[in-house]
Amino acid sequence: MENRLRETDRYWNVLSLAPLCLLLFFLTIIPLLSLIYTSFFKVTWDGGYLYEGIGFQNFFDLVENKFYIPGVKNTILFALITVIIQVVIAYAIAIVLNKIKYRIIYLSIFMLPILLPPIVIGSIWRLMYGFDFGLFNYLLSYLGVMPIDWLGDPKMAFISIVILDIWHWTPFSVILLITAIEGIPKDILEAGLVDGTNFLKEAYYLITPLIMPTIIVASLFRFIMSFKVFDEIYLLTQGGPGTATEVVSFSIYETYFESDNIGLGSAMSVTTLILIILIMYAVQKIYIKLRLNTHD
Amino acid sequence: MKGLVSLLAVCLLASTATAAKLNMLINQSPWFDGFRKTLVMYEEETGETIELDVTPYPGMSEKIRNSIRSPEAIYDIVITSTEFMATYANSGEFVNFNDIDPDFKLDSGICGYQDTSYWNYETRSFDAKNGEFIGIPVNGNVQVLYYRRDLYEEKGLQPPKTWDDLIKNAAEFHNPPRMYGMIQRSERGAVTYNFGPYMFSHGGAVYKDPQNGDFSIVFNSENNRKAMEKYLEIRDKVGHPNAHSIGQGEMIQYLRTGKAAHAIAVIAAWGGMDDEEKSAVIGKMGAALIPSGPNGSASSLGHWEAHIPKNVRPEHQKAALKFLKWLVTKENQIKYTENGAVPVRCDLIYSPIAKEDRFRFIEALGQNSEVAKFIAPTVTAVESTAITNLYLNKIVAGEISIVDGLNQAAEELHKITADNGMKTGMLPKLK
Repeated sequence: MENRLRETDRYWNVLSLAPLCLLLFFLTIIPLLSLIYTSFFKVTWDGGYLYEGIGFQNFFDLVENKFYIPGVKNTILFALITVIIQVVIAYAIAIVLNKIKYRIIYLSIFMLPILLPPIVIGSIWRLMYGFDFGLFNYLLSYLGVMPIDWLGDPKMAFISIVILDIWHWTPFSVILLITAIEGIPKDILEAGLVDGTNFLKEAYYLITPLIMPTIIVASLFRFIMSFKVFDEIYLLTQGGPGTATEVVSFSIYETYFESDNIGLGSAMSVTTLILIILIMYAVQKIYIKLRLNTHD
Repeated sequence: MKGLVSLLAVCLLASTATAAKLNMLINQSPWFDGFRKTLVMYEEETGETIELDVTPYPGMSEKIRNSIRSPEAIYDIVITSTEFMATYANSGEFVNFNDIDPDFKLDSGICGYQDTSYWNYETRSFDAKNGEFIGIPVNGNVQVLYYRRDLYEEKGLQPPKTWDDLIKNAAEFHNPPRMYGMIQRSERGAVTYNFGPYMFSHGGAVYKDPQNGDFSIVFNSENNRKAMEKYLEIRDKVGHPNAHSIGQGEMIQYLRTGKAAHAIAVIAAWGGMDDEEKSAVIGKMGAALIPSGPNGSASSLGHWEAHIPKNVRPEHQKAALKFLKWLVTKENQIKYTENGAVPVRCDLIYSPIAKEDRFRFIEALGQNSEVAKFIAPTVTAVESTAITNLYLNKIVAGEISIVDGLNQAAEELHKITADNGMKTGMLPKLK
C-alpha cells in the first residue's frame, strides 16, 4: 500500500512538473540551441533564409570586431563597479532603514527609480548631464566649478553611465537586503543587545553573516542584469565617444538587428552567455570556499 | 421580404466595393504630424482608409524586415531612410511600380535624390537609367544651413558662400557659453551625416563611384583629410568644444534657445523654430545653401522613400500606389508643406508659398536638395556607417589623428565591401 502511494506520488511529481519542463524546453532550450546552431552559419536572405556553414568564422570575426571586444571589456568593468557600489550603498541604507519606524514611506520613495521606464530615465539624465543646459553643470556653476563634460569626455562618460545605473538599481538591492534583515530572528538581535553590541558591531558581527547569502544573491542578480544594460547607453551616448561606453548588448543589437548579420550576432550572444556562465561559476566557487572557511 | 433581400444585396455590393483598408509603417519624427494631417485630407477626399503604425526610428528596420519576409505583408506601404534604403532595395522584395501601372513615372518637379527611386540589381546601386522603379520619395529631409537672419541683418551680413565665410561670419557672434558661432553634430551615432557636406564639398567621398557599381574605398583620400581639417578648424575657431557629444536633440536645443548662430541640420528640424511653445527665436531663423568648398556646395541626403512590398495583395498594391501618386502631386505637396511636412518637390521653389515668410526655408530646401549626395548608397550602409561614425567621432574627440582615423576606417570599410562580394579596392595609405 505504502509502495503504491509512493509510486503515485512519483507519477504525480513528474506530471505536475511536465508543463513547466515543456515550457522551459520550448521557450529556453530550443531557442538557445537554435542560437548556437546559427552562430556557425552565414545567414542571408534571398526570398528565404539561406544558411551557409562557415564553421567558427563568426567567432574569429567577433574577435576582430571593432565594437564587441571593447564592449565586453566595458561591460565587465561596468558590472563590477556598479554591483560593488550598489550593494555597499544598499547594505548601508538597509541597515539604517531597519532602525526606522515608518520605513515603508522611505522604501516607497527609494523604489521610484525602478518604476520609471528606462527610456524616461535616459531622457531625464541626458538633460541633466547636458554641457550647457544640464542641471549638474548649472548647480556646479553656483559653486564656481567649471562645467564638466559629462558625456563627451571618454572617462567621464563611462563614470556618468555608472552613476546613472547606481541611482537606477540600488533600490532593488535595498529591497532584497531589507527583506533579509527583517527575516533575522528577533531573539538573535536581542541577545546581541544583552551582550552589549552597539549599532556598528551588530551590523558587522550579527547582521552581515546572517544575510550573506542574500548579499551574494543580490550581487549575482545585479551582475547578470548589468550585462543587459542598453536603454541608458542608447539614449545617453550611443556607445561613444569612440567606444568609451560601448557595451555587449549594444554591439549585439547593432549586429543582429541593425546590420541584419544574424550569424555574427548569434556568435556574439553565445560568447557572452558562456562568459556570464564562467563568471557566475567562478563567483559561486569563491562563495562556497568563503562559506567553508567561515564554518571552519 | 423581397425588399429586405434587395437591401441586403445592396449592402453586400456596397461592402465589396468599399476601398481596401491599407496599413502603412511610418516613423515617429518631427514631420510626422504634417504627414498625418495630409493623410486625413486624402481619406476625406477619397473615402479610403490608411492605418498608420507610427514607430520610433530604431524599430523601423526590424518591422520592415519582418513584414517583407512574411508570407503575407503586415504593411502595404513601408518607408525606408537613407540608412537602410539600399539594403532593402536590394532584397528584391519591393514591387516595381511599373508592374502595377506601366505608364507611371515620377514627374520632373520631384527632386531626384541621386536616383534613389530606382534600383539596379546587377550593379547593386541606385540607377535611374537601368534600375527598377521601386521607391517614391515621401519626405525630402536634407541638411541645410540654419543661420540667425535677425543677427545677420543687424550686422549687415550675407549668408556665407564658403566655409571661410562661415568662419568669418560665425566669429562675429561666437561668445561661448552665451552663444556659439556654429554647432556641429558629431556624436557617434550621427557624425558621418553631419560631416557629409564638408566631405563632398572638398571632393571627398566614402566610395569611388557607387552609381556605377564601383565601391572602391576612397575614405582615406587627401580630400577627406582636408575636409576633416576644415571641420575641426570650424569647431576650434567658432564651434562647440564638445561637438563630439552633441546629437540632433542638443543641436536643435541650441538653435531654438538662441545659443547657436549657425548649424547644419536637417530641414525636419525647422518645424519648431517658429513655434511659440518651443522656440525663443520665432521669425529669427533663416535657412540657406550649405557653404561651398573647393568642389562647390553639397548636402547629405536624409530623405525617406515609400515602397510597396511584393507580398502585398494586388488590390492593395493598386490602392497603395494611388495614395503615393496623390501625395507627390504639386497641389498636394503644397498642402503637405502647409501641414508642416517636408516636401519632396524641388519645383516648389517657384511656387507662391516659397515667397511667404513662414515658408522661407523652401528655397534653401530646394537648393540643398539639388546638391545633396548619398553618403553610403550601398547594401552594407548600416555596417559601413557604424565604422565611419566610430572613427570620425574618435577624430573629433581627439582620440586618434585624422590620418590614422581615416586609414583605419578605410581598411575596415574595404573588408566589409570585399566580404560582401562588391567590386572594391583601396587607396594607398594616407601619410
